[in-house]
Amino acid sequence: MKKRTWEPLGKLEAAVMNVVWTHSPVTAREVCARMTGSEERAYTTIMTTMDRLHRKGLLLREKEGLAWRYSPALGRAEFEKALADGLATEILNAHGEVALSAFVDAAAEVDESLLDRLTQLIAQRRKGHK
Amino acid sequence: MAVLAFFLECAATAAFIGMALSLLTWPLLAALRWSALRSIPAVRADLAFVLGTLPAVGALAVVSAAAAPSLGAALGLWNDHCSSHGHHFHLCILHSAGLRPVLAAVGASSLAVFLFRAGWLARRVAEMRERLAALEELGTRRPGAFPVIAVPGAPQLCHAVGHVHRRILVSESLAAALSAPELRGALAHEEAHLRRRDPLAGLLLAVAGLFTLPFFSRAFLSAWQMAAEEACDTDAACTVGDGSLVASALVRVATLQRQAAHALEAAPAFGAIALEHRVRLLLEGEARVAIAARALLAVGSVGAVALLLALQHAPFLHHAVETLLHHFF
Repeated sequence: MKKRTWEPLGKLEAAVMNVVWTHSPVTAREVCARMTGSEERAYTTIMTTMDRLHRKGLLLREKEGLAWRYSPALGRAEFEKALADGLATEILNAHGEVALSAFVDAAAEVDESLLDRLTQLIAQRRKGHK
Repeated sequence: MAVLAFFLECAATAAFIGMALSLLTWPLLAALRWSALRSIPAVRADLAFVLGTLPAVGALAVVSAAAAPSLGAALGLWNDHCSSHGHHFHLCILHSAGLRPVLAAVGASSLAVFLFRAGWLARRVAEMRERLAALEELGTRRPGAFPVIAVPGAPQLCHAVGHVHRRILVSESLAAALSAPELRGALAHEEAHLRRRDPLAGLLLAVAGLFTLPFFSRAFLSAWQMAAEEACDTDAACTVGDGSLVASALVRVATLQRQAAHALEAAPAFGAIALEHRVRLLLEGEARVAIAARALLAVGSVGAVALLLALQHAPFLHHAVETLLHHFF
């Protein structure tokens, strides 16, 4: 099955997710109360952002009275790893030669037997030099 | 109308010169396989870079020189040159000889293709910068002459990046899977790329490739990439003092990338640079010379000299281009 890929979070989305990751499960009003200073936003903005994060699959929610209580669909480390995988794959597949110099470029075209053969060759050469 | 005709004529000239120079320089790529050059991959990479950028440099120099008398007259810098010739086709922004249909079609299609490819390239560069920034935000930076940024995720990355701010991107999992000497070899290879300014050179080659057919630009890029990889392997082998260590790191990284590619259902890399060839070269142990790259300096100098020479002979080149266009269209 193809792994789900994630898009980088916007500034507000990242701030909301930080609160959810540390205080889950939370309501939009609780998130709003914890976002102070430069992160402070109107309650409706936070509610819309959390709804969007839910539709993106990043937040799970359960009804609690009139409000939704949100929890993260995956942990911070898990999300960052999946995001990094998606970004790296995209960079390597679509944009390579315009900005990167790779250590190994041929992995897509090498088969296991070649890798085994080269490993043996290196081992033999090292043995020969000892 | 005169301005449109002038730009279309300039576009057709650039396309014509770019193609002609590509056809002339392309066979020279074969010369890079000469045995005398085999042991000095850095020189081979420099030559491939110069050959790859020559069509663009030549086309720009010739078009600049051919357009200079007319543009100079339009800006009031030079006397109107038009009275000195009226016997043939007229490349002039002030006094157009009229739009020739075939020439206009060639110019318009060349310009359209150029703008399309340039736009696509610009978009790819912008997307790349955006994605790299997002990826680097997730990583941890180890400062140094060339900072190393360790990013989370599958072992896919061991790359030199940055056209101006040069740095190394490495997957944490890949760094953890390599032995300390292997990691030193891999990083030494990437540092060699950064010292050579290969990410910038790759971009410049891609830009220069806009002045020729994709087939030629790919051939030049591929020849340069292969030689640059060998040059960096040689450099890394000299730095760590053991070619087999770098070869071992190459195979280990290829294995890890292959496993990651299966897990992610994605191709882990973008090129097709022969792993076996590089490993064998590293193990051969023959004296290979690690020298500094001079490609950017060489192309800068060649470009400046070509432009100066072209401008110095602007009237001659202007008439030569007019005669050429007159005969062909």
